[in-house]
Amino acid sequence: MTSKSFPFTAIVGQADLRLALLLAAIDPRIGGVLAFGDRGTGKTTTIRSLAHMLPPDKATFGCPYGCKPDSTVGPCAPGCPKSEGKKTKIASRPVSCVDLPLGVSEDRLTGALDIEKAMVEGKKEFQPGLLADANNGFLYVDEVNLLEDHIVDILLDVAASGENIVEKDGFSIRHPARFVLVGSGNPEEGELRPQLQDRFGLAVNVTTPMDPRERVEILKRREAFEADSEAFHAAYKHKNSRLRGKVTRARTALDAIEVDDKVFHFAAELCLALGSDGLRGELTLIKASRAYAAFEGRKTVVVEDLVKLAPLVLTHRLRQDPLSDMPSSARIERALDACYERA
Amino acid sequence: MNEHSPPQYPQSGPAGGHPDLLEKQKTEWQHAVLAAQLLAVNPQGLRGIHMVAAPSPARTRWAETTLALLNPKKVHTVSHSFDIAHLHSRTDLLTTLAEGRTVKVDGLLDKLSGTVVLMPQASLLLPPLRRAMATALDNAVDFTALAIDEADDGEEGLSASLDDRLGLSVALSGQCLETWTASLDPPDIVKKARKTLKKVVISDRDMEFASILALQFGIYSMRMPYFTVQAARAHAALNGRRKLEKADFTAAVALTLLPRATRMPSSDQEEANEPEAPEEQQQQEAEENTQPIDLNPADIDQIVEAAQAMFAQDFDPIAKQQKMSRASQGRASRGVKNKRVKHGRPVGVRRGRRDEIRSLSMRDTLIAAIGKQSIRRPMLNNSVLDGHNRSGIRISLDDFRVLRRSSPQRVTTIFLVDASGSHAVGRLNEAKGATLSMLQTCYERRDRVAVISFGGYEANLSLAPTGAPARAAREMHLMPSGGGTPLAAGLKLAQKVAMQVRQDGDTPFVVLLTDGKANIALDGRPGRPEAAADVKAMAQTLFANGIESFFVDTGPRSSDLCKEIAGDLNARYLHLHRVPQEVLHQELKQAARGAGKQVNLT
Repeated sequence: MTSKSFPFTAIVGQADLRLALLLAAIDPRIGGVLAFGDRGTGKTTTIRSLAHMLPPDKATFGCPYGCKPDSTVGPCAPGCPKSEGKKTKIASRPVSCVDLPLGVSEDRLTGALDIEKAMVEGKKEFQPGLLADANNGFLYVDEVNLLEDHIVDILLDVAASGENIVEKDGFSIRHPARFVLVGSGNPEEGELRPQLQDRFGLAVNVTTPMDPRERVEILKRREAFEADSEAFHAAYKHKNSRLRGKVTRARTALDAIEVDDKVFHFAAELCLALGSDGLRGELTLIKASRAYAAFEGRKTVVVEDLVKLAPLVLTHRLRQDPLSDMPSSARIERALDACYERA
Repeated sequence: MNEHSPPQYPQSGPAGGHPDLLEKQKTEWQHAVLAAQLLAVNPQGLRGIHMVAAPSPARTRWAETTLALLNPKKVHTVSHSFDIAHLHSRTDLLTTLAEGRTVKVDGLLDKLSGTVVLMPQASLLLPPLRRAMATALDNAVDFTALAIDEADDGEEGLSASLDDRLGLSVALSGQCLETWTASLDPPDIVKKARKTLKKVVISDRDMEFASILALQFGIYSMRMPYFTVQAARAHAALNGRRKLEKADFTAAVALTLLPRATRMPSSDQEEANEPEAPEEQQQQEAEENTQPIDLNPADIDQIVEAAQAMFAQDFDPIAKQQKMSRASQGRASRGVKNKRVKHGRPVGVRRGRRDEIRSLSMRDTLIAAIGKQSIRRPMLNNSVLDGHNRSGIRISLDDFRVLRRSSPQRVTTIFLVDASGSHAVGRLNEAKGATLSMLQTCYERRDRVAVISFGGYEANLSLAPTGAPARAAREMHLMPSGGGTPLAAGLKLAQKVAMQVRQDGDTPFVVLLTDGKANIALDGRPGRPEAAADVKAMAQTLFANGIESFFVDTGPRSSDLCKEIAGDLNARYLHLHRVPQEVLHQELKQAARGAGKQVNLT
């Protein structure tokens, strides 16, 4: 693929993955998206194309950490005009989608002393890392299950706090690092640490499309894209911008979405029936449903939203019984049926 | 494989193989060269070649031929020892210091354009490196990759994620006359074909065709049918055609789909059978959809047959599938023989703590320190290397870099399960049940597990160390039982696996489930006294090697025999029937946690 990525709206199939990514883009607080599944199913293509589709971000002009101009979390780190008390301008920057290479070093991830500046100019300056680049965007880890433990630890910390705290090389820096963590991988190659798995708000099991027509359509579009990516993009420009508009509207509408007590009850009952650990399941389910309702242009969340999203939210949160052959999705379906009947 | 023999007169091939070894090698060579030509004609569409071949003159010759055809600006070699830091652009510290200005060095990923990346021993690439190569193949279209896979039968092959991104797959098992007579110059036909390529029209029908062919071969990745179309297109261009014909698909299938097939399409005899069904169904659906996919099943059959004929190798999709799945399990596979110590092998450096001096990496520590010298001694004005001012490099705790190993504290629990006749079916099931519930514990602790069963005259490694306890559960369900109790053989195998685990950097922990009634000696002869002596000796060996273990007595009542063995092993002893499951879990957890420390006999 050349500099341009595949248009998001031109992706055939993968409805679940696309939905999950859109919801996470509408409300980053949902948490990240985990896409586990077969090879060659377009996981990477879908994830990369999303960032290009989204409306550009507003960030403080000149801030190396891309902090939000209206952020109230206090001043940003040194290097940001805001922290230096200067008058700030607002810049518009495309949503970042940062690739986290498997062999990434701690320094590269969190940022570290700028060695060049130190050596050449004798200046001690902080060089922001990938976490800064990913701020307000997406941090994508392919083969996330093969990521090394100490890197995973850092990611977990930062994803939980939304802040990257660097205490080394004589630096004491904290800067905002809010990102949507997107991981993909093939479970056959190794399982994911439960703590990390739990951090992902939504999980999608990506399967290869088995409908021949769908497969042919994928091939055709890929061929058309490779042959002339400009023309291909032009053909999907309208669709892309319509979707972009929908996401923007959903983001604005998000706070005003109402959630009925009935819906809360349903979520609680469902999670109880499934015995999912902690309360994160319910919370995420409600958050995701709000985002979904907003995306659909509704003002209230309905029980059907929960039914639709439950598999995305809960599949990876069920206590796994490695010895049972029953897939999590079947358990969710059963619990859904039971709860639905009661409601 | 010894490839140094000169071309021979036709002989009978290996068992069940091609009748004519020389013929086979010739076909393979032709395929390999055809693949190189197709790649040279359509590098952007095909991306690379996965070559399966043991080191041989023929392989070397093929690589030369291919590189001559591709005629790249430069060839980058990425072997398993390639330093990951060299992938990205970086500051050349020493030159920078010496010259007092920033000197950047491009990383491999910055200079891929127009080059060929040659990956010898590609199956040995560590995950970060192969991941980086896979991403590079996704992101940049203007380089090609040749992955050479040693393909020793027992070894795992090229990582599936890389194979999936390389269009063509070929193999070489030996040389033939053509290997040495072929010209190294790119034939004009290839140069001409490059120009023709753009004019080759691909119809919707061609894409439909490739898509269905891939499914027929049990290949579900969407990259493959795309490669099939691209290979067919290159083949058409080579033959001066503007449209794809059956011959183009035949060649494309032989070089893209067939080597990766996980099943074979319906053959003539089974035409009416199950494999045909999806196609009919698909045709019906297509009719409903007003966009008929006009496919003639006969076409597919012909292509498959022709491709198979072209593909002279013995072909066993099942074996291939197993191999692929082994490869995809990565380090889980081939625990015992696998010499690739990934785990515990240094994979880079990280910041160290004061107590980690032992694994200090001097080089990286110095580099880290050098970078900061000018801050620490600003008065020296970048003249750190200036001899007059040298008063030693100032190193602080911040600079310490220690070797990073993939994950130092993992435990691999080796279940040693008695599957003998004395262990009556009922009790075997109990042992299985206990093992399964202990697997749950392992799963929670993210332990790796291995399963050894012994019964009859020997012990078997049912499951090599793996990070997926679910697979162990599956093995347990399938475990047969009956015959004698070769406990000593079981212990011996456990010892071997444990040592391997230790070599991989994990801590081995053996859980033995048996009634202790050994009756087969190490040499396979029956007899209780001999067997008992062997058991004692093996148990003491395990103990002497410092391998922690846990003895679960599965007999009807707790026996002194078992306690004695447990004593020899210095193992914690538990009687299965007398302890509730929770206690078993607790004990196991504690024992495993203590693995590496001394565990007292209870």
